[in-house]
Amino acid sequence: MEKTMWLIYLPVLLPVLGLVLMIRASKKYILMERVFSITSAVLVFIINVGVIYWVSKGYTVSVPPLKVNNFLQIHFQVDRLGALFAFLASLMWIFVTVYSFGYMRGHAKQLRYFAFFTVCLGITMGIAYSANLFTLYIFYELLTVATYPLVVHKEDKKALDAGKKYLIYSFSGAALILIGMILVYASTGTLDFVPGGGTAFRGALPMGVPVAAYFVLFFVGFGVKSALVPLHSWLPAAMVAPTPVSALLHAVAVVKAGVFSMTRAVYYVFGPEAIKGFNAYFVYIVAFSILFGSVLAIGQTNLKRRLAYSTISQLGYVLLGVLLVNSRGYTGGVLHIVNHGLIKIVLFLCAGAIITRTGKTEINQLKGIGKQMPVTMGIFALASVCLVGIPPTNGFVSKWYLSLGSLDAGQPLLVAVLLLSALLTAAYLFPIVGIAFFTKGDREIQGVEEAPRSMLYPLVALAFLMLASGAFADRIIDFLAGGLEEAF
Amino acid sequence: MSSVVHLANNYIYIASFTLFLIGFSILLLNSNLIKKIIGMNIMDTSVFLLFISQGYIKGRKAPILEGGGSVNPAEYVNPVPSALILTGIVVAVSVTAFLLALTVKLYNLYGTVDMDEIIEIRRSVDGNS
Amino acid sequence: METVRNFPVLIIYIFFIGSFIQPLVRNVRISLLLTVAISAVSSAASAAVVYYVRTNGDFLFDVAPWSAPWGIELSIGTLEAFVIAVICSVGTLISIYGIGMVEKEIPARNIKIYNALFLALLGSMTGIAATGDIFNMYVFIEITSITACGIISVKDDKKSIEATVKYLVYSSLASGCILLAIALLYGITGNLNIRYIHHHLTEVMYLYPRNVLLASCLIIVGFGLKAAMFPLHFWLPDAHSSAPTTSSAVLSALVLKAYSVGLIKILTGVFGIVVMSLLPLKTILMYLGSGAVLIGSLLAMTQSRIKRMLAYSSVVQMGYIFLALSLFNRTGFTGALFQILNHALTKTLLFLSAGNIKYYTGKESIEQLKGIGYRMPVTMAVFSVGALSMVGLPMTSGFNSKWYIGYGAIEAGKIGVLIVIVISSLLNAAYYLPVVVSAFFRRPSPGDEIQQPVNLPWFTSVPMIVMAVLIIVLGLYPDPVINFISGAAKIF
Repeated sequence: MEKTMWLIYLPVLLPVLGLVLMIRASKKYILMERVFSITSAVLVFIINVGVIYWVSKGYTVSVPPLKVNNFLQIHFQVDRLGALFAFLASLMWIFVTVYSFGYMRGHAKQLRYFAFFTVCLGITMGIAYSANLFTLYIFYELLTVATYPLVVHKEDKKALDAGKKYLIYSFSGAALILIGMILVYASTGTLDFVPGGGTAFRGALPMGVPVAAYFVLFFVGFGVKSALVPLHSWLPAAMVAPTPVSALLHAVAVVKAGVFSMTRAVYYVFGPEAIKGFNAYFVYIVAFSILFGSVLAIGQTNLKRRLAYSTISQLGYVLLGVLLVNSRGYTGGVLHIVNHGLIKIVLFLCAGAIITRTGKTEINQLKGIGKQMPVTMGIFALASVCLVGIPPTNGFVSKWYLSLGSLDAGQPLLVAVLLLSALLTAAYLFPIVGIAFFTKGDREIQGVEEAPRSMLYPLVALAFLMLASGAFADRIIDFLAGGLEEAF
Repeated sequence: MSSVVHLANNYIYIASFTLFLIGFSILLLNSNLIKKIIGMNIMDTSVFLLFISQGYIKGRKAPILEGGGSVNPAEYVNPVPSALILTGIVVAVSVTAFLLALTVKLYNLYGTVDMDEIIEIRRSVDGNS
Repeated sequence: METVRNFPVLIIYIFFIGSFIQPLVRNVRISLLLTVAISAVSSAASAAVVYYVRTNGDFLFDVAPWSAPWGIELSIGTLEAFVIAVICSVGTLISIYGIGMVEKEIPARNIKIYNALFLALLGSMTGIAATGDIFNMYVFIEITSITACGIISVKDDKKSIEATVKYLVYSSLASGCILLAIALLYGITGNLNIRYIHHHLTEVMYLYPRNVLLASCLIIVGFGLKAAMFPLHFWLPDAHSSAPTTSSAVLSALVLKAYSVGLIKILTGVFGIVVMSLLPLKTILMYLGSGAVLIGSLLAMTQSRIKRMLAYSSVVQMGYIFLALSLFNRTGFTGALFQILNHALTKTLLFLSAGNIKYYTGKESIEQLKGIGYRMPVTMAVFSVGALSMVGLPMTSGFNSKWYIGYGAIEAGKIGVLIVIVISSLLNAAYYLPVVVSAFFRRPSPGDEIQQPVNLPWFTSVPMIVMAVLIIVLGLYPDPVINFISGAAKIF
């Protein structure tokens, strides 16, 4: 059932309007950019609440398509997958925006920061709401462009180099997607997302090229933003960005947009039927990515880089679930989008609080900080437990489903991979907790205070959400289950 | 044997192509600007030659009407090519004039009309070309 | 409504009349305004022609009381009406910009001459597009060559004169080739009117195959050199980068297009699809187009001065047109025509921005542009729009060009062309984006800081903003244009 809701243009366009207004207004009134940011974020979230309400009732919320030319249309249509992503992103955006108020105090170029931060919200909504490949592609490219100013915010050599790497990787990936998109259109005559995939990909080989070859284009293209090994090296480099950016964008918005798009490609363009034939190869590439990320994380001494490699590994979990192409794998994968998003944001925001209060970025410098920043590090410990996947946390639920999905697909080896990765996760997270609480602090740490309130409150709120997502995991699974029939 | 006859019959084509190639290569390869201009003129003239010669029909007279009376087109050579070439000549003259003016300017600026020398001077003066 | 049939001739007339009046005009101001006025009137007239062709279809127009094949006839179809509209409207925008900037780069004594040449150039380009007679086209081609060279040399400094000589010499070479081709075609068909030659050619083709082959080669080489088709593009970087800003814009955006349109007209009109299929045209254009795109991009990346980079970029963009033409299908042809419009707008915008930068800050090299975005926000903002369009970001007109050409490539089964286009988008990013990044994200060199943002006069900023807006509008909603120009691809 479809419900036309013109209001869904608003989350996409409002932040852009906000950009223009911000530039004009903040010349006259100080702090206007902050007002706009938080207002936009809250409004977008409210609209997404409405969207998810209708979607949970079984509707698809959409607007009529805009024709660009004879082949291409811009079309927004929100189904369960899209609604979940949009809801998650907009919810977290509110908290990270408030956190940014505290973090960015005293930094330069705040107008540019908040302007692009808000625009990225709109673009992420655009990705979530996309009803066809072309719309997705537009917003995907725009996301790269809009996140660039945030990555190079510091404007020093390291930041600019990281930015350059980011652009090269992202645009190359997008180029592959463009080729794939044109080929898909030429073969099937449509770019729309069809639940269960387009019929053209079942059986017959379009244009004499195996379907797998087409899929490779999308796998690599979306794989860049999903930080799939070996296309991942932009992500650790992008850690030079201010921490809220690293937290939200590179743990949630950008990389989740990547795996979200991959999900769209697998289930809504090619379809499970078509993918089943060759998914084994891709699944093992992803498994390698999971392990590789975890192993490298252990070796990192910089806190944010360790979290970045952790992200690479965790994204692999999502892709694993998606590529297993069975209902429990899918549930596990999509659930992990939510869970990992919350956990990783919490971890990054803790890191940001530490950096703000102490200026320290290396893990071995954090001795004894648990005494000075108990709330922050306590939450960090909690999040670590969740990520490792110890019951009854949210991380456990998604890993459980992933394991079941692996067994369903007849790949018990993957369960071993998941277990191994959980161990490695503990190996790179628990020592941090240990150093924070159980070693003697050095002099520099002694005088440090707990995180400022503007950063602490969002952190605590998100921590609660993180726990809630574990407790209410079944609600989320039920929500997804409705979408499951469509996807399969 | 027949190829020689063939060639002899098409002497106009041969002459004009030869001149074209000569003019073309002078324009392209010679470094002296004045000679380039001369080459361009030779090249254009060769094409004019070809063009006009297309109009000639053996045994007819020049397309000038004498006295009154009716006009029988079958008595005259094709006048169209000659008319066209007048335009062509004008064009060639204009381009020649422009090129000569530029040559004078270049001579005043560099003291030479040799393109190679000019490029050398430029390269040594500002280090980029 | 029928009076609209007169408009193409009238457009050409008023351009030339305007050009001849220029030396009589009292002062520089009036001279510049006259240029704007005439261009604007022509734009309006060309819009009427477009509307007419859209509703009534192609038409022929006899210039003199004698009809073809004795008199010259104009043949205005979708392609021609479109190109004339592009020439007039972009020309108007450039001339509005010129009100402010021409005096800054061209010595005062030459400005009237500059305007005269500018108007004559626009008129002759319209003539190339409009005419249905190949000798008439040759005359207009020559006028275009001379005036195009003229607007470079009018700057009157060492670099520009030398560049002009080079350009004119090679241009004359090309003209000679074209004239020879015309002579050959006349020799075997006895006609100069495009339609009539085509008619006779189909009969005579098999009697004189070598003539036809030679004529077609000469046409391709001649027009190719003038339209900067790889590898005959070598004159372009010097010519376009040493010219005054408005001249660079006209040259890159319009002159190259006029010549390529002439090439299209002769290939499709005179030779027709039969002869075109006999020649290995598809292969030649595809390889030369790919060469232009890839090698041109690599050369552009090595340039340190903005204007030279933009000139090499023109080679790349023209390469797209030739690639699109090599596909020989409707979608590809539509893509080629859309690219004409897209590149005209975008390259003009980029050159005008570069001119602004050069004038207001004296900076020519990309390295020096650090932090300039805050000093010249409007200029760099529109430059960014143009750069993103060149890269092919969706929602800009550049993306639409690439989509159509890419899609046409798949339809023609040539996935290689699609890959070339996508690679070139990435290469484009490699030399355009550093400029944008430098402008906004790098700190200015010491000594450049503490500058107030420059306030541009309206006639400098308005044309650029209009073009930037058009690029985005055409990116989102190219439908009206696409529907119109796809009618021109009847031959395929």
